[in-house]
Amino acid sequence: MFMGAWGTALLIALFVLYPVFRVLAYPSATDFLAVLDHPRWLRAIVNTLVMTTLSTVTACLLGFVFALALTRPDLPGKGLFRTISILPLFSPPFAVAFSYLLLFGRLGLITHTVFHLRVDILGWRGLWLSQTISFFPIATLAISRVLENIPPSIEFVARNLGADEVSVFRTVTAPLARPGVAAAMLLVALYVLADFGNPLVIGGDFPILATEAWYQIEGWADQRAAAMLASLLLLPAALLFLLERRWVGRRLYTTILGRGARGERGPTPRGLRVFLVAFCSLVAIFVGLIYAGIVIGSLTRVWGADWHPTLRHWAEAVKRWPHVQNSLVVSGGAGVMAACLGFVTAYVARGRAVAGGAILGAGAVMPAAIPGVFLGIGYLLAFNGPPIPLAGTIWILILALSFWNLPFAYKTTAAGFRQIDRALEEAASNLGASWLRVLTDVYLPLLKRTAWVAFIATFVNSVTNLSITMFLVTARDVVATVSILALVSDNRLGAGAALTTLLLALTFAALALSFRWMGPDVLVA
Amino acid sequence: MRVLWTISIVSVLVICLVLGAGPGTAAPNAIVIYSGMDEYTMNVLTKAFEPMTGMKVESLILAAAGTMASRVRSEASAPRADIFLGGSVEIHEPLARDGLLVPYHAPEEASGKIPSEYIDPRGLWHGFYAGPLVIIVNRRLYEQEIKPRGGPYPQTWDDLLHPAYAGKVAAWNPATVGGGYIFLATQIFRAGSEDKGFEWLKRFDASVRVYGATGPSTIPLVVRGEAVAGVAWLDDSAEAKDNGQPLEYVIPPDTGGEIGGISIVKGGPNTDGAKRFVDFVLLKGAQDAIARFGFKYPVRTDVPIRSDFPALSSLKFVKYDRPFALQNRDRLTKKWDELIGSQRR
Repeated sequence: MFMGAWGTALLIALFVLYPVFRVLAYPSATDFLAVLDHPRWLRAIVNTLVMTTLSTVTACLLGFVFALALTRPDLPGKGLFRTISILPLFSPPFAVAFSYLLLFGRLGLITHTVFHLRVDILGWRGLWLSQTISFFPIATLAISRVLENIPPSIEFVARNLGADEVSVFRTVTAPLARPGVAAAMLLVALYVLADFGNPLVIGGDFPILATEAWYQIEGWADQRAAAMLASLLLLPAALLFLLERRWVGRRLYTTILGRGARGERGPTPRGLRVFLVAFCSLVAIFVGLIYAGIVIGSLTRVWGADWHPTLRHWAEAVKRWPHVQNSLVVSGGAGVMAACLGFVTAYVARGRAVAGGAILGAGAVMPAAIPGVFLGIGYLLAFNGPPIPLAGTIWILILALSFWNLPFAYKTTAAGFRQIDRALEEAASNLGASWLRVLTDVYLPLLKRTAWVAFIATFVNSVTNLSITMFLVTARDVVATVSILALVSDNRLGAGAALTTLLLALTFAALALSFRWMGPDVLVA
Repeated sequence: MRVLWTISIVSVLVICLVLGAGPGTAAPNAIVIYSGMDEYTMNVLTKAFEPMTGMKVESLILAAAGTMASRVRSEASAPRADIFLGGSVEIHEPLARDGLLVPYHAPEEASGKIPSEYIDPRGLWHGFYAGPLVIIVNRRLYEQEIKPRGGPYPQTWDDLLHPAYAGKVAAWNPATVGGGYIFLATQIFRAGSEDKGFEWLKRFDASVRVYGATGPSTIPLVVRGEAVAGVAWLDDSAEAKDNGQPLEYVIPPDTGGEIGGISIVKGGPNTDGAKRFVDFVLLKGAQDAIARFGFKYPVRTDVPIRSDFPALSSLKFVKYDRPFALQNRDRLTKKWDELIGSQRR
């Protein structure tokens, strides 16, 4: 136990804190003061906070409704909704935002061609919409896992005692779901905070800290300003984390009792059912359109202007197969590593030694507050030379991506741990099991699926990551997203869309395989 | 059994560290290029260079020169690249100033075939192509929205000030795009003074629908009809047009331009090879390929330009004071943001 804690702490210190420190130490104090002098950067701070609030709330609302729907056994079209609820995780965000423009822009297929509307999607409204769609899957994943773990028997008991549906929800379901919802809000907020793909494409003139940092690099190769702006993101992220701990951490939520049956979930009330199906269908149509847009873009001559069908973009995309292969290898490695790390960290940090656990937990969630660009530079600065010369190898990519995804892996597993009665562990300990044995024989079987969620989330997150890979790929192991960016920057949007579609198809195939292996409800388990 | 599983986690981590510890060495007779140039031209150059020298070229191609420059900077303690290629010399200059580049004088630079404005006297960067700023136009939207309101088809920068263009032009944000700053400086030099330049920029602001935050952002905006006209680089615009995108471009008089740079990274794995590559891109054949496939103006006077481009001598460039522009970058972008950028809404 002791060893595990120290080992985990050491890894986090080395692969999270050290690169962060290297970046923070990069700009000088005067660089930080420069922010007061730049109205654009001050605006960016305000905008970032506003957008984070707006998008987090809507994404979590959407995610909660989806989670409710997905955890009902008797909802028609559940499979479709499940697919829709994870789809946005799968593609590079700029592809989604481009599709928005294609469909809803000034000459958009839907707004202009079908409805003859002239709407302005560039700016904060479009950004709000695309961030909501991009990040609600994260909320869905986190919330539905918790909802699923609420034993139907408790709700059943409440109903038997005379509670109506509303008060069951209010007094049983909602309080039990609170850690999940809080975890989801924290996670989504951190993702929105660091999001740069969406504002890049759809934000227009709307400055956001994460993109502002990237613009300083891309436009001026000014890393000091970039590091300074990215550092400003760490403060709200730390606040979010503390808030979440106050809100969730105090209470004990025990639902897996180690005894008694879980029971079957009863039929969904009609009103709720109609609402859930209608709501989810609407979102499904919307998300479906966006992805149809990407596929159409890959099959037509000029994205958004010349609709003649062509296979030319696909010919170009297929040539980049090695890049896709690299993506799969890197992301698979990162997925395994993040799942294991998340599991071990959550186990070690689950609150026995309160102070130590809190610090470890904070360390594990910290990467979520680090914009990818920042972490990418941090890894380059930290691991370029001795003592740990990782740059130029594929391992730097795997390590960076797995530690960057550790927050989700950790939060998911930690929320899982929180629901398991400590009596189970104590029983095992009393019978003489070591901490390792407790971990592998008690917790692992109960949380196997949670670990899978962590793996899959990390995998898809890594496959679609651009902000980190862009800095860490070498000439020999270019990954697909970097390849897509190269195409998009070259204005070859059709080929970019084709490669995106290829990547989507492959990650879905990988997911389908794991469904076969783990059962179809891996993602809500 | 279960314990085995945990042990395997640990061993995976250990293996990662062990394998990662080996330095990522390049093949002995290879050079590594960080390229901000388009892939097609890069492939043509590579295919010509490799048999000529027997060296292998490993290039990381990303049309994002600033990002490449940041990588060079971050890797300064143990550089992975030999060559940093592409992007305006404005991006190379800070690397040069911080001593991250190797001075080198290519024989071709002394041949008299390359005008002095493309040659850095210190030899830290080497201009290897030129490209002007252009106005891009979506013809269909122009006919629909500008012509009926009496707006001229844009031939000069001033044409974009016509009220018919109000809110219909895609420009660049000088605070985030290098090209946007070159545009800003161009207008100052064109107007003759800073104050007059900013007056022009303020009037121009009424025409601007969006200040794109990245270099490639304006072309798709115009192609997809989010804007009628826009500011862009010649090479990107000509390439998009050549790819069949519905886009027209005009090189206005008194335009500004970029000098595409190539530089040798100090401490890279194969500096001698890098020097040979610099020699190579300045040769007639390579310059021809860059002009033809990269849609750029060659720096050599004895290389023909693309037949669809006007002769470089027929273009009227504004008198662009590069040292002034480089020195006043921070001040001028801040001033722009105060006077224009932050006033929008």
